[in-house]
Order: sequence, then structure tokens, then C-alpha cells
Amino acid sequence: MKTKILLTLFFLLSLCLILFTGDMGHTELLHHAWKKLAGETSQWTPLLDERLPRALVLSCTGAALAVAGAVMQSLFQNPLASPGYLGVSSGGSLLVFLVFIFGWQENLTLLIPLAAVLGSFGTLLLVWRLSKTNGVVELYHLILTGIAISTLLIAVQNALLYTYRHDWHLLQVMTEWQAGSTFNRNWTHVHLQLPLTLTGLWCCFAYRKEMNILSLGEEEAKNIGVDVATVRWRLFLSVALLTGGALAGIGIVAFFGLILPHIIRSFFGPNHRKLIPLSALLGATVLMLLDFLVRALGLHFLTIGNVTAILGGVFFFALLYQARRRGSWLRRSYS
Amino acid sequence: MSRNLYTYLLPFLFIASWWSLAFYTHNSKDSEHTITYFHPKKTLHSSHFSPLNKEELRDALTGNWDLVAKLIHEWDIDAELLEERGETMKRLNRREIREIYKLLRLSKEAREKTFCFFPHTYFSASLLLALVDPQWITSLPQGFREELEIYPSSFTNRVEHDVDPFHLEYAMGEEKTLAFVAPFSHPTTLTTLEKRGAHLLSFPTPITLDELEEEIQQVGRYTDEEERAKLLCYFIRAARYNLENRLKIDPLQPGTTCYLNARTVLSLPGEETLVGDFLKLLHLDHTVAKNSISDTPIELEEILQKQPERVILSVRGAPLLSKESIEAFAERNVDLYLIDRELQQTVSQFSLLALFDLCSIALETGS
Repeated sequence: MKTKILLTLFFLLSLCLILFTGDMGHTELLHHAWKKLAGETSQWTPLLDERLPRALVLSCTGAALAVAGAVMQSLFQNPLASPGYLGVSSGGSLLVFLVFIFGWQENLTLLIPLAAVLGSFGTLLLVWRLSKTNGVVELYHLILTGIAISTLLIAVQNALLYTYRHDWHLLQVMTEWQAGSTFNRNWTHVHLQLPLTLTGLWCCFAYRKEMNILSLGEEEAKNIGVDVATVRWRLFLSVALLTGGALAGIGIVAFFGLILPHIIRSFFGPNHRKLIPLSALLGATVLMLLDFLVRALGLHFLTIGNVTAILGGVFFFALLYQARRRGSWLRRSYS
Repeated sequence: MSRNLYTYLLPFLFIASWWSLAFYTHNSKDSEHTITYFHPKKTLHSSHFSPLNKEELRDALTGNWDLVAKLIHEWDIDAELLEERGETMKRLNRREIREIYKLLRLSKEAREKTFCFFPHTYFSASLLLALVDPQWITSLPQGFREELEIYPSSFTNRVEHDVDPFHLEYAMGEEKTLAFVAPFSHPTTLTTLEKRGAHLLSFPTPITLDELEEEIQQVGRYTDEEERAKLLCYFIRAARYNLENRLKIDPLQPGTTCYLNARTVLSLPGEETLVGDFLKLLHLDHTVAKNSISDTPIELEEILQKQPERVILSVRGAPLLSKESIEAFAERNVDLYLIDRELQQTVSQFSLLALFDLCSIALETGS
């Protein structure tokens, strides 16, 4: 209980940091917001029209990626699994790239996040369809198909990048999107992402018990009466919703879905009844804090995507180093 | 079966209704504000100066030396007339004008070359096409002739072949080849060129007009076209003086100008870039990212805190602005100017056209 309160306070603190850090004074900021809420004005206000949407996008993305990571690690019984395992983010990224190539975003900005969502879903459906043998989806086949499709999509994207390498305008735009920025987020991003994230989170919450049973092994779960195939499909669908939403909101945020659930599991144990809500709460908190730090330290040359990738890489390396010293952490994580 | 259907249908309906409610109302809600985008003019008209046409400038920059001399002469007369009325104008001095006519005569003489030239960068391709007889240019870098907003096809069609930076089949000419590369050129390409016997000349990206002139002169020296290079530099300087003089007569209205690069996010240009230098020259540098060579992302809130009178958006095609941003600008009566990003970011003698566009905006706000 104490931990929950502490973590909630921690979340509220990071939310306040995002909402109340900026050039405008707090009184003026709140005054503008109040006037808009009271219907006295319809003018654009920094708090309600920029900082709040940014905080929501950050919270949704953090929570979505952390929960998606926790679910993937649980389903694959592998602490190194991440939402990228099924090629979901590669699919989204490829479709966004196609939008940029054809310049469709110039007429309809909404197409960028929409392409990210559709690409993620399309990839999941393809992976699922291709890994079906005699109407059954084996986990082993699913991993391999996911990796194969992901590799293929990344290869296609690289090939396209190579083909269009002389178009430096396109490269600039693509690099900017891939870096995962939180600048200029607005209610459009929130509206696109929020229903996806809420649905994905709700589904993961609903299957917390089943995930606990599945961690005992597939056979045991079947014996207890869990419809393993259905649960798995629905959870994968949720992961696609969560990842697609995160791509639509910010772009690529590497390593976050891999590292954070891993840390939470090592502190709070593998019980999904705790793990899933904690991942959502801490995911949202950590991403907001990181964004606050990047802005407070004036690291404008870095995006949130760059920072998570660097920190994730360092952390991953530290884990490997620790594993070499103390034996296999992979085993310990699930023991 | 029906339970299964509901399991999928309910979340689907939830998402679909959220989106339709959010985006239908979002799009159908009539904006209280209308916003007009302004574009840079094609010709600058003024009662004190002869008209300055962008296409004419572009033509001169392709190496039309007679036009170069004609325009310099016109601008000089404009400045002289205004000086007679007591204005202090920037202009080339007598010695420089005399030199221009001498250079014009010399630049028309055809020169036999002992080298072929391979431009590996857009910068060098643009300069070589203007300075050197095209028969001595082996090929153009891939994608160069597609930049139609900057380089006219009559200019790029002077050379037949394109070269892919990694497949250098047309890179080498029959004579010894001078390859114009950049510090950012791919090391493998440089090694390949060297192995094939090319002499490499590396040119860094100029970040000021003075540096640009310096590099043009260097290219002129290496290609034995010093006269043409000097003429081009004089032309750029004279054009810049003419634009500055126009602004002196019709000065910019007071108020902050915010220049923004609009790609997937909004960003301020770095001070240490050619665009940064242009903005400084035209006194539009109120919001450039100080001491920076690259763009700095910026939030709408920060832009509005600067209380800009006008915002210049460097875009490719339509502006990628959210409805909220447009409304925020409209509420504050901010004038929005759209400017071509390709031209703004180009680094060659054609950068003068980017300066022209910016000056056109500055003059529009002044009039």
C-alpha cells in the first residue's frame, strides 16, 4: 500500500513538472486555463492546449510501452522480449516512411500517426496468419515469423532509404520522425493515441490472472482451463494497440518496453496482478521525467527516443556485465 | 459465438466512436478565425529602384554573364541616383565596376582545359555548371536535376550523365579528373576516386555569404575560371547590396519575426548557417538559435511567448501546422509567410534566391 501511494505521488510529481515547467508564470498560466474552462474565452492556452496534451501523450506512450513489454516478456517467457519482437513497430515505421515518400502528409498531417497505427496492425495480422500451422499458432513459430517479418520490413525500409538517399529533404523528415520527438504534440495526437492505449491497457489488465497461469507453462495453463490460443491472440492484439498508439503519439522510443518491465519485475516480482499496473504507472512516470530532464537540461539536440535508446543500451550492457559476474540473470528473473 | 463477437466489437466500437467524435467535431467545428498565408513576391517593385525579378536573378546565376553585367549596372545606377538625393547606399566602387567589365570580356574567351571536373556535391555541381564549359564536367550528382525549384532544367541539361555516389561509372573523364568533394563525402567514395586517379578537392559547407564568395573564388582558381568566379562573386555582392538598400529605403516594421523550419516538428534555424546569416543581414534574426549549427525544436508556447508579429514558415508544399497552432496564430493576428524550404536550405550561388525571398517578405512587412 505504501509503495502504491509513493509511486502515485511520484507520478503526480512528474505530471506537475511537465505541466508547470515553462516560461509562463503559474498564476498567468492557471488564469488562462481557468478562463478557457469557464467558457470565457476559446483562445489557445499553453496549459490546456500544449502542456496537457504533451503530458497525456507521454503518459500514454510510457504506460503503453512498459505494459506491452511486460506482456511480451510474459508471453514469450523471455526477459529480453519487447514489443518489437513481432515486428509491430517496424510495420508502423515502414508505412510512415511510405507516407513521407509520397508526400501525403503535406495534405493530411493526420496520416502520419494513422499510418503508424495501421502499419502496426497490418504487421501483427500478417505475422499471426503466417505462423498458423493447421489452424494452430505455436509460440515457437510466432517468434520466428515475427523476427523474419520484422527483419524483412527493416530491410525494405533500409532499401527505400538507400534508394531515396539523394533526397535529403525526405531523409531529414524521416530522421526527425524516427528519433521520437515530443515537440508540438496536440489534441490530435491525444485523440489518436488515447482510445488505443485505453483499450490495450484494459485488455492487459483483464488477462493478468491468465498471464500468471501462462507463466507456469502452456500445458499447465491448458490443464487449468485457460484457452491459451485465445488469450494469447487477444494479448498480442493489445500489444499492437499499445505499440501502434505509442508510434502514433511520439514515434520510435527504443528499449523502453524492454528495460522498464525488466526492472519492475526484479523489484516487485513476476506477479502480473502487480506487474501490469505498476508497469503502466511507472512507465508513464519515467517517460514524463525523462522528457522533463531533456527540456530542463536544454538537451535540444536529443529527443526522448534518443535518450531512452542511450539509457536503455547502457542499462542493458550493465545487466550483461552483472550477469557475467553473478551467473545467469535470465534464469533468476523467472525463478 | 455472440459473446466472442462482442469481445471484439465493443473495443472496436469504443475506438471508432472516439475517433469519429474527436475528428468529426474537430474538423467540422467552424474556426472563428481565418488565416491567410503570404508568399514571397516574384518581382520586387519600388519607386526608387528598378524592378528586381527572381527569374532574372536565377538566369544570371546560371552563368548568363551579359545579364550579370546588365543587372549590376542597373543596381549601380539605382544606388547612384539615391545617393544624389542624399541617401547613403551600399554599392560596388568605381574600381570594382571597371574590373567587372574587364572580367566580362575575359570570361567570354573559351579555355582549353587540362582537367575534367567531377562534382560530387550539389554545391560544386551548381558552381561548375555556371563557371565551366559543360563539356569538361563529367556528370552531375544524383538527384541534382530533380531540384527544379532551384536549378532550371535548361541549366542541369547542359550535362548528360548523372552519377550515383556509390557507382562512379561516369565520374571520370578522358582527361585527368578533379573531383570536388566535401568533408561529409563517403570515405569509400573518396578512396575509389583516388584509386582511379582523381585529384580530390574538399570544400566545407559555407555558413555565411562571405564564405560562399570565398569558396566560389577557390573553385574558380582550381578550374582556371577565375574571371567568371570573380564576376559571380561581384554579382552576389551587388545583389546583396541592392537588397539591403531596398530595405534601407523601405525598412522593416518594428516587431519580432520568427523564422521556423516546419517538418514533422517546428524548429528554429541555427545562427551559424547560411539562413542564419541571411536573417542577420536582413535584421530578421530575432529568434534564431544562438551559436548553433543545427535546428532547435521549439514548442508553440515558446513561439507565442516571443510575441511575433510575423512568422516565416520554411516548408515543402503545404504547411504542416495543426489546427490549434493556426488558431493560436490567428488569435494573435500573426502574419504567416510561407517560404520554399528547398531553396532556403540550398547552399550554392542560388542561395541568393533564398535571400531574395526573405527580403521580399521583409519589404512586404515594411510597405
